[in-house]
Amino acid sequence: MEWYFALALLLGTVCMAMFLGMPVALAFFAANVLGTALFINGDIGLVLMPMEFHNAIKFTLSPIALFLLMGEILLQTGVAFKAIGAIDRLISRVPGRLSVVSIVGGTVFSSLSGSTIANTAILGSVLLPDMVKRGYQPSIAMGPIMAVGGIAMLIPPSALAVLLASLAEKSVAQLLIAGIVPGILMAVLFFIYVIARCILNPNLAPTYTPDEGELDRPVTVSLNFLGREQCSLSYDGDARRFLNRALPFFIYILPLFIIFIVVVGSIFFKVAAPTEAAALGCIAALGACYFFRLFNNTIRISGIEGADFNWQAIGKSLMETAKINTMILFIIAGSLVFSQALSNSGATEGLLNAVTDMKLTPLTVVIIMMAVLLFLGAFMDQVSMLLLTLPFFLLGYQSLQVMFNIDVIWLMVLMLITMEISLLTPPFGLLLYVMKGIAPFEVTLGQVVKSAMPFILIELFVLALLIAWPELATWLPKQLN
Amino acid sequence: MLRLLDRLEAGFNRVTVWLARLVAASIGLFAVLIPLNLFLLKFQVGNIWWLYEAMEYTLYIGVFVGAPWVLQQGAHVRVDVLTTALPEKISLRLERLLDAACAALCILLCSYGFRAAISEFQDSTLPDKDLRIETGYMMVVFAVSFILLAIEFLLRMRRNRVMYAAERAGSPESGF
Repeated sequence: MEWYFALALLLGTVCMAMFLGMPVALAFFAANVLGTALFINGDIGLVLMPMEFHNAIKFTLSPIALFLLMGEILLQTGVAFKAIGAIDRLISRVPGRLSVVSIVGGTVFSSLSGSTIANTAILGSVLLPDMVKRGYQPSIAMGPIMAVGGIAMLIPPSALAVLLASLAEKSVAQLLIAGIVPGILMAVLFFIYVIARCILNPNLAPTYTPDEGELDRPVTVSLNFLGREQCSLSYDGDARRFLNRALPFFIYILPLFIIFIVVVGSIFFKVAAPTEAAALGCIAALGACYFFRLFNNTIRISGIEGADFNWQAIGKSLMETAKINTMILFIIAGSLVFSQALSNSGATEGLLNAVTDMKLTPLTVVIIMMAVLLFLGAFMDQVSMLLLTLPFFLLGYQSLQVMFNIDVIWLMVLMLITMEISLLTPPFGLLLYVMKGIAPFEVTLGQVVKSAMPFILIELFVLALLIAWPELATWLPKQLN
Repeated sequence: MLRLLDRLEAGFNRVTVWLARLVAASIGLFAVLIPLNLFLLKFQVGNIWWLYEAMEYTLYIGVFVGAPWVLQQGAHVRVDVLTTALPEKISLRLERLLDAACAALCILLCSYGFRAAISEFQDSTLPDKDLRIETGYMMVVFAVSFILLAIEFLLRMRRNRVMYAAERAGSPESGF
């Protein structure tokens, strides 16, 4: 069979099954059965196929579950919400204040959670109702929340970065570190855009004076143990406003930064491999939640509330992690044999040879790859598009990355940004639907897309910057070497 | 007959939930054991030699035995562009058809899983690892998982249309 017929048959089966609404993993399994029967020794190949699924689940995929668990612990115990509250209190008079809070809070939470959906859902449910109450226009209220939600894909710990590097059999640690600079750059550009737009058009986000009555209250600290109050302090001096503003930051945010330092620091300084860093992050998250629990009863500080850290919350975190992890790895198991069937049918080699014969430059090839991802991203979720394209882009010695000698870390960062953009592109941009689901007002998908559009352009600008200056992505991981 | 089916479904749901709890517990266990192993190694007081290979086995088993519960939760990723665009009546028929097709596919995969298990048991195949569990058992996990998935797909067909409607209306909650 000609390679293009094989390619059309295999890709067509997956895409058709997906389009009809079959679970993505099952769509891959269906194509595997067809591909194995036709191209890998028929019935014998099908008997050997389950073994390939067994081989697909490798140890390198284990950080995904652990990074997801870390974020879930902070989410289910309510710590993430408290952190956003602390940032809210710290930022006072800036144009588009709540949108700025969402960008800063989202960036902070990105450094703790590997899930873009969790990020958007938390920020949306905490900040959107207040934004609506304050008269913010939907365009400036929803856009930053969705955009900053996607930053979780770049800033470590990013579960998708772990997945991408593991599947491509490249360095997980280098990719995690490589996402930091582009992630921060993107957050800064979002920040500048929101401020500039709110200065130019103040009606988008009416200025208001936040309720700062609590800041004038005396700062009280009391220690309670052995069933009674052991000591109590109260301060009513000139610095009470500053203390009331800064204390939530020091108590809620700094311990969370310790988690980030534990995870990224242990990878950067080669104390731990990504799996170990992820597990250390889970322990650090539990430690942080226990620390916050002290503020329920043991330590009472005015304006500070403790977190609900209990076995029930931990159990829920574990179940949610199991759900997402199983869903992701099940698709991976399905797709691995698919890439083998593609390879055995000659489709991979045929397509790659056809691209090579076109005498394209590496830059053109990279741009084509990003265009393909952007196109697929409009219809598919990130894992599916990754697994469909990986056999051609990154896997093995016959991939476009190898044939055109493209820096692998740079390419993977570009892929992550493109996937981040595709989270916001209709009709299937996942974050658009998350936002539509949590918005406390009637909103059409068109309005949600419109609010995301400026941020999509900013992300495309960052993508262009990275294509022009690959060092933005490659400099930091080189320090790791 | 209907009551018996209801009881069977309730029992099946309990099994899948318990399997999911085991998967969740295994993730929690490894989140504790991995740092412990790291400290043991760093302080040169030994190590848990089987840890990483056990984790690999557990990840594999967890993915397959957890998949039916994830399906029950409606959390497997789907592209629902078509099903949401179609009129409700046609969409429901399509959903049923898809569930039937998925059930058939799962039964096929299950049969190949059992054939692979028999073949591996006959050869007494062992993996190239320090922690060796006969490969046949892993194939049994694969086959059993697809039986459970097939049952879940058939149960989805039996459940009322409310489930499909709720799944279509709900915003995504799980994922990256």
